Amino acid sequence: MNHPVNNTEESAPMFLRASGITKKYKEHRAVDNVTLEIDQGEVVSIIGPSGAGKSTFLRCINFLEMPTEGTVSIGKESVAVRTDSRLPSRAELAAIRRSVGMVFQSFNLFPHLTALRNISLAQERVLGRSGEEADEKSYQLLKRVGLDKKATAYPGQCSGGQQQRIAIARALALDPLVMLFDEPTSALDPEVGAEVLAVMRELADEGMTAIVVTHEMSFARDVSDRMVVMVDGSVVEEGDPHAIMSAPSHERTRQFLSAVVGR
Amino acid sequence: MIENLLSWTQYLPALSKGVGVALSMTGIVIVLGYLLGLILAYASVSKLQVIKIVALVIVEVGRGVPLLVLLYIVYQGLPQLQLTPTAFASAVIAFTWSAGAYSAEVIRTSIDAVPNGQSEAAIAVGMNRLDSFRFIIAPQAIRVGIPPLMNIAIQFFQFTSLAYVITVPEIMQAAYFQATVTFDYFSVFLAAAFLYAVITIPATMLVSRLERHLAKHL
Repeated sequence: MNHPVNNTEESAPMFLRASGITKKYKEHRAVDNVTLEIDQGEVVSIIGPSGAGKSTFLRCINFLEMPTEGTVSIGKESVAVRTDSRLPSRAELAAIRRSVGMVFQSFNLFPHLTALRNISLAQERVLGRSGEEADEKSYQLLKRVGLDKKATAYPGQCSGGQQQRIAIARALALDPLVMLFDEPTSALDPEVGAEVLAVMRELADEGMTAIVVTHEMSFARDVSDRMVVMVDGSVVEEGDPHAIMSAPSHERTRQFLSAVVGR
Repeated sequence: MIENLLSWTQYLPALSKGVGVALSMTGIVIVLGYLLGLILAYASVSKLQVIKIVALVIVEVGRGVPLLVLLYIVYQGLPQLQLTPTAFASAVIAFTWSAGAYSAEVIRTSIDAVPNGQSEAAIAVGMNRLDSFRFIIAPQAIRVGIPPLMNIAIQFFQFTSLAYVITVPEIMQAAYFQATVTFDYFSVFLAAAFLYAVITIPATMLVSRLERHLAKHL
């Protein structure tokens, strides 16, 4: 993948930095002052029990969920939110979202558009690429996820695994600096999930920067460079995936791992 | 016997004069009703409370008050306010109110029917709100909403029969006139029923086909 902005050596210390992210629903802190930094080419997986705020945190990074407080910086873009006093402008949000690709648990492909159109539309509307240019790029991306034969198929004519791979291609089409994966295989049968994970693995090998919320422990262990464990809205542990999985230092991590590993 | 069975058909020519009136009234009501429905649907999600409340009142009255009552309010009530619309215009006003109210609800629920994940996906790929509505939400809402909107048109074609009570010369009025002359009530109203059915049944079938076609990629 080409990263148009960041090949130049600037003083940007971290590729993506989400700092002090807090999301409150009334008095409940779904995400409580979480900070995560990620370097170019790094894959970070976020694991933890359900309800830990993993997905909410991920959705705060591209402001699908408006954090109650916190700052997100990606490349040169930086957007800060402070309780009640500062909401980001549309232009700021657009800039962040353009640099972030997101893959959803439920795919969320546009059902009324063909696979190719699903991938081309935003390129044309957001990046201003010509139809031809966009379609060419979309076709290449479909090829990359092994679905060039499905270019003219509608989402409803594709299996769940194929839909998720098309969704990955759609997210990649804007040349995002960072990819966010929100439990991308949770809605799939394990067998089908494997084909999606295989694509993600390839992309990681090719240098994709990504944050992955997942329950796929072996994927998290083998593919990610770093693992973050979230419990009750906070990060309780962070570090080398192998180290965490073989010798978790936090009691909650131990509990969680013993529940999910070897299942 | 056959002759007797088909004797009602003799009334068709006399009644068919009313068909044109009923159809043109339906046409006008539906065009105006859809427009009103669009405006009301848009207004009912307005951030301005006044506009929102006014829209909701218009919709709820239009749906809650029987059409016959609306018809009388417009035809008999407006003249007291020094407004004297013709019978045809009165019927159009009352029907448009009701059709607009029902259309507004269909439009609103069709937009609501598009899953939240769709606009999230549009936002996530960086599309602005207008583009997201234009390319993602509206096309899907239209596929959901067209069949019920067309059913409203069919329904209001049937409702034009009510306009007979305020002397609009549509099918029922022609039928009633024939019946009072011939006393052949059964045949006359059978002929009237036939004229309505011959239009509504094919139309309904068409809508079902269209519905299946539109739902193909949803």
